[in-house]
Amino acid sequence: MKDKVRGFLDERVRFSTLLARAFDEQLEGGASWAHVFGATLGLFFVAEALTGVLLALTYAPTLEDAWSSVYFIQHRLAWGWFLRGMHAAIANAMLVVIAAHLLQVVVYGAYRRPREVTWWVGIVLAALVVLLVISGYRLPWDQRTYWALKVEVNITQSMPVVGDAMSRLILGGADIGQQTLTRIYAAHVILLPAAVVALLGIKRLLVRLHGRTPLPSGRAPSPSAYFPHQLLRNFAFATALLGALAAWVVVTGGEALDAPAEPDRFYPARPEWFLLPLYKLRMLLPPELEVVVTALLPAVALGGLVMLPFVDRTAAGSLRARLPVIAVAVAALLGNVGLVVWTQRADAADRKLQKDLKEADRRAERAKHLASRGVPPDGPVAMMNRDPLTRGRDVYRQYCTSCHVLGGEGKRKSPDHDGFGSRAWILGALKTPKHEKYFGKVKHEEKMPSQSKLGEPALAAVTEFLYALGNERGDGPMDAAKLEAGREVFERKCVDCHVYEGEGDDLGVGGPNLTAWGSRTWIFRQVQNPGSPDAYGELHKMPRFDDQLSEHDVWMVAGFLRAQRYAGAGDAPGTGAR
Amino acid sequence: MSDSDTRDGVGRRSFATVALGALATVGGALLAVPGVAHVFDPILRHTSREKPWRKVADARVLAAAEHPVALPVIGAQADAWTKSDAETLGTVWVRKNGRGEPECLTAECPHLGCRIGYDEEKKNFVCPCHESAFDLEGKVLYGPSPRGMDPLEVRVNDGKLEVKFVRFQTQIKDKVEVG
Repeated sequence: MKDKVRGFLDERVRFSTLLARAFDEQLEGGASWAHVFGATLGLFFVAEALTGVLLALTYAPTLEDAWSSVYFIQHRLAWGWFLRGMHAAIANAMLVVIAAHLLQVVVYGAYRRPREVTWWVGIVLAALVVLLVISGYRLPWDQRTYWALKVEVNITQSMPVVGDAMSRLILGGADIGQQTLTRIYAAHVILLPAAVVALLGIKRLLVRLHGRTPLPSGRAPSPSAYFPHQLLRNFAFATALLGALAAWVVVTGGEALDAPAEPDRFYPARPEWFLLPLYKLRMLLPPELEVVVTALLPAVALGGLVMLPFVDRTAAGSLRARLPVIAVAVAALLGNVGLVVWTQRADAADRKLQKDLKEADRRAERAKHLASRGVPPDGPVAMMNRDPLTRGRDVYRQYCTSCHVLGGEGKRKSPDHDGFGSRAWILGALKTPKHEKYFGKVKHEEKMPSQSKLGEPALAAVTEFLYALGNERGDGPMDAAKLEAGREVFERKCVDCHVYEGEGDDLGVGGPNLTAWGSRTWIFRQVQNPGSPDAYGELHKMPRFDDQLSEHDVWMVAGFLRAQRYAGAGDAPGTGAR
Repeated sequence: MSDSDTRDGVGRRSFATVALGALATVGGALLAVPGVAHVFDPILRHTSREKPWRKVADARVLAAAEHPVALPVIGAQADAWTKSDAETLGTVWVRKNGRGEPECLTAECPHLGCRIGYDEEKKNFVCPCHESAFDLEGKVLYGPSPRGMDPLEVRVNDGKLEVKFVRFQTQIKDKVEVG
């Protein structure tokens, strides 16, 4: 049967001849571990194509959907995290293997006549892979990669003469936008891979044409066929590396997904690891010399590689004569590695940076949590903007911490917001209103006295009643008897100074209106206009915010503040997007 | 190929071939197995939930209607990563029966899913794609449809017409829910 199939194919497509041509190539110097890099890169490219197609089944290259579709791949689809992790890990591994391959070619002097064209094709291939990795990293449209893109775009724009035209070509316009993402996507999945396939074919032909470069030592063991021993070594190396990458992906959980890209949100951008040497050098040089690092240095390095066959015209096998070239290559590689390690160590020790990254992580986690309930059609940024715990927190940190303390941040000029509206907060405010955590810093001429003399049971009951004032739809049922007891205490002790449901304050003290106190509506009124009679009232010391903040933002900060009563209790009811 | 002539050479070569096959299998399976599971995810994932009542119109639309009324069904829908509050899910035909109760038929043709229309002259339902025709109760009059139009649960609640919108498999005699 097998023979029949073979015979059938042989007659029609010269199957044996094709196989023999591929496998029976006589290799100079026999099978060797030194020659596994090229084949490994080829196999890895196939693996990238495979995983890439799988990711493309889901990924959607639009500004509204890119992040969410990657979230969907990563957290919803079976094995999505693994395939995406492998796609990224293999890509990064290819860069390392390319570096090893380049170094090997330099050590062997394999770029010399007559293999110059092979060398140049190899350099272009390496550049294409670098572009593939960079373009691939831009696709999730998350904060980390968006801001790296932003920097890259500005670097491109700063290039002499061609900068503006180049950046417009990449962006599809003057600014980063939808066209940018579509273009990067098309480059990543069509243009660059097609170019790689074409050049890989040419390179393979050239390698067959010229055969292997003799060993640099000059020794030449007897030649042997490609199949099986060289092929076995190639597969052994590639599979072992693939297994190591898979283990890495499983242990680390794969490629991270940061919060969705927000063009108006601060982010400590860093390029991908293989660009860190340029990043570090740019930081080391004065700004006027920036173009040296961003344009001149890469151009010189690339030019040097291209011109190498003309610089080094030594004879075959003369390892000693080529030691200077090898030394320069090794020094360049070690220098790059050193710069990467230096940058990463400096970043790890940079406390400000680590704090910013922690904040970014927090945001990423929240975004993923919100996305698990479904992303609205207008995209993940809109989703974040409608989340009180995200947008409300942002507004709070910008406008409120100049007077309030929350989570260890802010200046204490007015009541603390840690646990604001919780039973503990209410009880504390009743017992010790003049403590600086409550109203001690607000000059009220001591209008609110401590209520400790009511005794614990009455305090607990009125606390329960006050707590229930802030209840909203979705909150659980409360103990009716306790609430009734609390109402009795409240009506006896509190309404002399406070207005409640349109009545009270018979003494004309002007205490805060307690109707719906602690609810989102009450906080909304308070933030918009604290002097309003249905909020804190005439005794307030707080500025009004209705002229500074949009109504939406006030609702968000109100939602955020109301959520403090549940702080530590996870995702509380009523804190979801409105 | 000199070493394959000796006995040892043959042994080494076949060992190498087996090892090669094993390595290729392991390496390939490392990506292919998760890859297949990934591709099959939509088949393995089933989310059939009890369909909610969806408001389609004010109940008064039927009062004056001479012919069946086509109403869009709009409601929340989760689609991959997106969750929309107001997505058009489909169309239903609603009319009053002899007892004055509302009756509802889905406008999706049981033949191949085209959107069924109404012929006001002939007073029957017609599918524009393959010309299946149905009477007012949804029974097949002629054409390729394997079954009559699918009735949906309908009720009047608080003055609003509400429908449980469900989609059914086409091309078969029985009414089988999709999803």
